[in-house]
Amino acid sequence: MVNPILLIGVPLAVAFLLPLVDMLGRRTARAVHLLTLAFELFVAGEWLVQFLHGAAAVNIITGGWAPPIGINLRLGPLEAALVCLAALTGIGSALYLAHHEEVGSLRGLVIQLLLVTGAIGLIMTRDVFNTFVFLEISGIGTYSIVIFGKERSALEAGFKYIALGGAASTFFLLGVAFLYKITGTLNLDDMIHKLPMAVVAGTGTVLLLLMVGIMSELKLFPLNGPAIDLYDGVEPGVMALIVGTTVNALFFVFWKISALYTGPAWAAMFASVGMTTFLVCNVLAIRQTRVRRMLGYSSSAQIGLLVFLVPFVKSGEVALSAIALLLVNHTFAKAGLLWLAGTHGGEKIKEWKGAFSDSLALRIALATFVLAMTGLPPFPGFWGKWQALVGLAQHGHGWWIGAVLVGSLFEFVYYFGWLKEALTPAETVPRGAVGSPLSEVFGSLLYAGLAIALGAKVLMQVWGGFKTPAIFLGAAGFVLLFIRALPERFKAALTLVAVAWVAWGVFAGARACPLWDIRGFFLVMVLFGAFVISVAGLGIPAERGSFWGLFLILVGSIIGILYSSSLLGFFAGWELMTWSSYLLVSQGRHGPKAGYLYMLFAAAAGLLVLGGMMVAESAGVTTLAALVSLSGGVALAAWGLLAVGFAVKVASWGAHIWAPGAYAESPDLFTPFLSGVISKIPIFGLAAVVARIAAPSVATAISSISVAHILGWVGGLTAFGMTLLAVFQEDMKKLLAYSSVGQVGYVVLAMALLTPLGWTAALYYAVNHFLFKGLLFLAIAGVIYRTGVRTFADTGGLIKRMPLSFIAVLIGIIALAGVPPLSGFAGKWLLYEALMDKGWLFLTAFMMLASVMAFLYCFRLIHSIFLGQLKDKDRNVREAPWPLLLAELLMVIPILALSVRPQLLIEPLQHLVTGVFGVPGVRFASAATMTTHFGYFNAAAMMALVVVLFLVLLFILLTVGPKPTKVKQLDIVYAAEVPPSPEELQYAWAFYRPYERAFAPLLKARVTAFWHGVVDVVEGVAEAGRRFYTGNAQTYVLYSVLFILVLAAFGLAR
Amino acid sequence: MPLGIKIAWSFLGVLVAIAYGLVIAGIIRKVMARIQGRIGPPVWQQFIDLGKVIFQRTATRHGWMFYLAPIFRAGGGIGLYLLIPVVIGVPALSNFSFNGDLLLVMYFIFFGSLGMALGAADSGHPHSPIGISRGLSQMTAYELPFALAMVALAAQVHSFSIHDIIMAQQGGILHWNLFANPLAAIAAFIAFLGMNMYAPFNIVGAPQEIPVGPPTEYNSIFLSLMMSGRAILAVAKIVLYMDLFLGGAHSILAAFVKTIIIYFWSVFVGAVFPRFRTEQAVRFFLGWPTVAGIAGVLLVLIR
Repeated sequence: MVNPILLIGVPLAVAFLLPLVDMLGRRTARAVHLLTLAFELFVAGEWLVQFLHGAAAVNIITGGWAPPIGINLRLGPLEAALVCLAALTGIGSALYLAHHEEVGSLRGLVIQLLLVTGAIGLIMTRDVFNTFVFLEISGIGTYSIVIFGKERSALEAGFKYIALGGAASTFFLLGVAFLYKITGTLNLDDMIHKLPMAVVAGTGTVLLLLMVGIMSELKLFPLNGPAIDLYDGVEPGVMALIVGTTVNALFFVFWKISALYTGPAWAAMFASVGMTTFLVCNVLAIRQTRVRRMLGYSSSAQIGLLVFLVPFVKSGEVALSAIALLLVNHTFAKAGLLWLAGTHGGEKIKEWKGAFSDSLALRIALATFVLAMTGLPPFPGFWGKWQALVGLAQHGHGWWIGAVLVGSLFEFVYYFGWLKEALTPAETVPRGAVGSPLSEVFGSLLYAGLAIALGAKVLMQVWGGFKTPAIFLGAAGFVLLFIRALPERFKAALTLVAVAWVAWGVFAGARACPLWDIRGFFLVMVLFGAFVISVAGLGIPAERGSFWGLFLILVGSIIGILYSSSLLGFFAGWELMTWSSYLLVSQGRHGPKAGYLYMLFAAAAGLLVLGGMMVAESAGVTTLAALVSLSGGVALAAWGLLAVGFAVKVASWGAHIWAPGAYAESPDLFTPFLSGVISKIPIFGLAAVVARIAAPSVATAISSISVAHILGWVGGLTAFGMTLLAVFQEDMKKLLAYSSVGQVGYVVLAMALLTPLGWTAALYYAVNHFLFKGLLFLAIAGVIYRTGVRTFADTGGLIKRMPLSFIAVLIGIIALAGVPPLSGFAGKWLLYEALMDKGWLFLTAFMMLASVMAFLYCFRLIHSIFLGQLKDKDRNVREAPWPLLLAELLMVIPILALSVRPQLLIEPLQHLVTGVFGVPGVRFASAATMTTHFGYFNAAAMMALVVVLFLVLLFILLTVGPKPTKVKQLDIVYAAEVPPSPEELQYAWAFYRPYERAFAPLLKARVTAFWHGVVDVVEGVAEAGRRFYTGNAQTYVLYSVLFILVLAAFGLAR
Repeated sequence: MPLGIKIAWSFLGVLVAIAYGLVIAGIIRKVMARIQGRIGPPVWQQFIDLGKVIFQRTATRHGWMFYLAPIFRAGGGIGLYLLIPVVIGVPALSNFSFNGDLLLVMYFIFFGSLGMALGAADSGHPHSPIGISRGLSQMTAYELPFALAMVALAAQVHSFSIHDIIMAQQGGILHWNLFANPLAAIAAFIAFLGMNMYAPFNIVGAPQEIPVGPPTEYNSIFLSLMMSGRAILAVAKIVLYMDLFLGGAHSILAAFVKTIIIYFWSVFVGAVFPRFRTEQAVRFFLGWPTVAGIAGVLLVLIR
């Protein structure tokens, strides 16, 4: 093994020798520089491998003197990992900066090495004064590299940074000096040992001074003003280097020195300062308009989170790996984002429209970093955050968890706001990676790859290997992302094969009918839905090259949810589903904006679910099955958080404003899946997660009002409200979007009944909605594909051109409206019988009203597209492509089968609900007749009656009377005039205006106004906070003084 | 009873019901005329009209949905009638009501309306969708008091079976739901006005404004099916109301008397009141009739 002392020695020596080497040429100097960093990486990496195999940390004694007199260094697993990160970032930045005129010069190279060396010294040293020395080395490195910037802002930022850095060093040195006086040693380990024994007045103040020094180096709130300016002013490649070296090293210094701070008061102080930084900086980042400033706030926030966790790790409450994962995650993502920011060059967020649209790899890297920064799976930050929260939960720190979750939500707001811009296609030529050399983007790609690889490794530990369907599909999707050359239809075929392969593997092996198990039930729906979408994809090519890759990842994530038995596995799948569906929604024409809103609500839903799971974890529950054991207040809290989270995700009334946009603007090929399948996954959550928590005990917890009853009304209100809004839509996809949300409201309501009949109704309805809404969205996709329009005013009379699509829509709306003899009626029947059986009489009548109101939009949909007058422009429109029709047929067949025999589904459902409740909900009086406590229904006889009547009447029509002559389109009895154009005769705009007048008081956009209010408040706070950072160095110094005072007061109060 | 004989009886029942529907429509025209001081057409005028349209020498059609819609309309009316028991205790006249409960009947009402709406809209005549828009708007509005009344009745007997609801009303006129739950009855009977689309709720067809509304373009044999469907639909609805509120009927005579009384309720109201605009009608149904319906449900809950 190489002696670790060389980790410091070699780069230091090279830094001094580099001017000599430079005489041989700049290329040689660069090569030596890179080689040095590679050497660091190799040595530290080799040691890291040793440590991971159980080797003990090594102490290196320098100068021949044993500590405490001599200075000793230490290399343990943490140190080795941090050195690796520093070296890696150093390599990435060196390559990135190679073409940079100033920083890439000889001086620049030396200073880069100096930064790395300083950081490694800070990481390895165990001597307090030596720490100060390396602090200064890093400081000098930073100062000199900062003033390379030619811009005034960079110089100003640099000066402020120096001013505050100097102050910080002074505090630190003062602290060190006094500590030496108190303990008589400068060796950290010695000091840790001796400090508790020294009873000297003022020790607390001394420690406070030291800590203020470290905290202002760490750029915690409110001492981060200059650092933020630095992010904005300095070349981003340099900033990335600083993030990967100095910032990490400083955090590690804090970690080491915090061992001196024992006792709950210090722990509380660290946690408070860290959390305040996390929250405040995340809020302030929201209003930033400049990319790198925003990243600066984010860095402060992330360091704040790490500082917050330190006391909990020290006390053993939170696993060390949580901090490690978060730190690695932050280094990867932040350095990567800074490099990308530099490559792109857009300073304002608005300038990022269409970023990297010419480079797939960079687009993926950007998305990866944003997802990693916001703590989404499978990236390391997700696992880190989960571990941290679990630790906090198990030790009863509920409020801290709440704070972490709130802060995380703000992170989503600004990071996805940025991503929204990047995903929005540019109107002009997009800026970005055009012609940027590989060396410049090497670091970003490397870190994106590492984040993905590391994340995938953990995910596979949680979910299993490549043989599990979820991982297989996810991996297949990931590969498909990179295949650009293939035509989209071929990719659809590949998707089809992958899905079919998985389905074969799942169902061929299943001995029992998979419908007997609730997971199997949803699994069938997901795989069938994915299959149908891939079939449709053979007909309509996806507009973006990443569609099918993301789609497979999405399907894999949903299967991951269904297969998971642990809370972690479930939640990982949940968040994977969230972001993959978000990216798919964003592919639509106006998708990014709609997707952003979708993401925010989905993120909020995710955090609520996470909160609920943490409540469960606090009671020691880690698996879904163990949720049953919850009781009392814990059960109620978990139930409430999870139920609200799932309710937000199904866009229940109040949280519904994301849904119309997301459904309407997502790619036409994806909408059927979004509406048919993804909207059912929260229902699975309700069934598999929420319902496991003993609902009766929850219900009695609030004595008079049943919680389930509230959920029922939420579902009912959603069904009614969304149906009402659907009636007035002028856009076909928006209409179906509102309808989808409303229909899922029925399912939520039926789930909330918590009776066997109610669950039968809910699950039957869910399947039925999946079928008919998928069918409708597919058929509409065909119409949009052929006509290119989406508003009702632009279509009409298409029955003449697209009769098969018309029939598909007709079957869809009859099933939706619940008109016999199609399958929808059984759903309505089950729902009303279940509601009456439970005694929720008003909800029954209310739902009858909502169901009838659905007729309005059903007719609107079919009339305005297919009936009435065919427009001249549409005279040559062709029928939808045959694969799309085939996909529609795949949906129609089960609808017709269920229409004749709803038992095909209801019978297996009885096994399922019997498994949950012990009794079936529906009984079968005969082979064809279903009965409940309230009524009976024979679908086959009903169908027979309709068919016979139809045939008899058709016979009459064909035989009696004269043979009808077909007349031309405009030959109608119309006020003695022959109207010249179809447009004049099409009644399509504001179809239900009188109805709108009647309901005017209900139609004010109150919910939207409420959310606008929320946004205004948050933005107002962020705006006010922004003024806090004046950019004036004097104010910054004032803040540090005030900070000391606050901390001192904090200490005194303790 | 063997299925064949049952079908034969039902076929006969359907013919009688259509005839009955046409007769009462004729009576209405006569009554209306007399109220307005005219002599009016003969009572059998509807039969003459029906004969006329059947034997028209020419017929025109638009698209194929236009062609099929009268089948849906007539089929919807006949099917609905077949799902409702007419005379209790007489299997021949209980039709096929054991295939579904009140919910099926409530939803099957829409079958014919939907078919007719689709066909009419296929004609490309703007009056058709205007009429449909009005009709659907009004339909959703009266559905609320109607649904509340149905919920009250079903909750009362703890069953959606029409047969059970009839049986619960036996044993005296005061057991009729009309008196047993007068609030639900009020809600349902006001909703009935909307269902029948006489004044004040006749804006759907709106003579003088959008002539005859949705079926504007229908003629000849198509129109004859429409007329028959409309006639039997009217009969089915009054039979349903008789079963639900007037204790059903033990004989054909009782059925005649009770149904005529029910029907004339809407005729008399229609003769007196002017027409509501659509939004007025919607607001009307969501007002007091709904309150009555809610009170009707509360009445059940309190008991």
